[in-house]
Amino acid sequence: MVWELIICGIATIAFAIIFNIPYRLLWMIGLIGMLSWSVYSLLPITGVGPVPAAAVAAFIRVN
Amino acid sequence: MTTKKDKLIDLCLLAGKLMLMYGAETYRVEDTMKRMAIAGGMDNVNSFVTTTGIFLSGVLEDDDDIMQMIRIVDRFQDLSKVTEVNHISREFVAGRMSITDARQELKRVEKQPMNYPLWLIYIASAIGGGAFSYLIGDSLFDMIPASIGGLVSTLALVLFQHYLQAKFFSEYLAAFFGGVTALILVHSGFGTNIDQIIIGSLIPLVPGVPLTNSVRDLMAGDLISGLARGAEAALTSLSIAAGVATAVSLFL
Repeated sequence: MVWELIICGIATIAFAIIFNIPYRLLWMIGLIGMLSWSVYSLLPITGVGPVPAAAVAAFIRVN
Repeated sequence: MTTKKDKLIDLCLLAGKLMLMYGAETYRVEDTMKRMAIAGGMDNVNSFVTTTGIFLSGVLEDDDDIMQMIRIVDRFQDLSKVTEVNHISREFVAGRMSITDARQELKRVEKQPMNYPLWLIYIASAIGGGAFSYLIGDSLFDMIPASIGGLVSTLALVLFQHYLQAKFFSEYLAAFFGGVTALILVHSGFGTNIDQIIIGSLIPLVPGVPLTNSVRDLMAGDLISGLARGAEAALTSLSIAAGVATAVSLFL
């Protein structure tokens, strides 16, 4: 789980670099990616399906 | 003869062109141009933006109606330029910047190189491909061939885009070479889980920005540009899928 979170943060930051996001937003993007991945992977434990879990995870924002 | 009217409408169109070229949503471009034109003293401003062109019309100080358009040919993804143009337009609307200053700043943003060097983008696509392949497939060792595949497909995309100038065909070829790399690595024993490796090597090609912008445009009511961007995203995904299908049917 911890490995998954770290790798997910790295993946979102890599994609932010591909799309040329400004430097000062990179850490925020990594945080959003980690938070939404944890929601997406933890919600199915409570019996929610993967599609509603993805819908809930899409609402996460950091600001 | 450059009157204030011409300067103002040039400024608005330049800002709109930069934002649309580098991947902003349609409603944001329309809103920015309208606010800038009103702040410059125009009345009866109407802006209409599609994915491939910008129209702007208005009246300045009881003069004749003016209406201009711009055609957008190339589309890139550079969101930091969108942020900077947004900032400049806010400064202009708040009155902290004159028309000439804003024009100079916009020209500077237009010429400015990419935020990150090209090698960092290649490395980022390799890392992104490997990391996403782990999230999909749960095999830590297969991250390495997946990241090699992601690197190859991005390199092929940039190379073919440079020489062919045909977007969908170069995406097809990039997906083909990414898939071939993944299959070669698996056949030579370097990697076990073939689905995971192919997905990881295709992830850098997925049209993320057009897809998101299409949905946001549709929700904002810009049906034409939403559908146009959706068609772009769908064609890109179709060419990626066709490339992988060719690779798999030839070499698996």
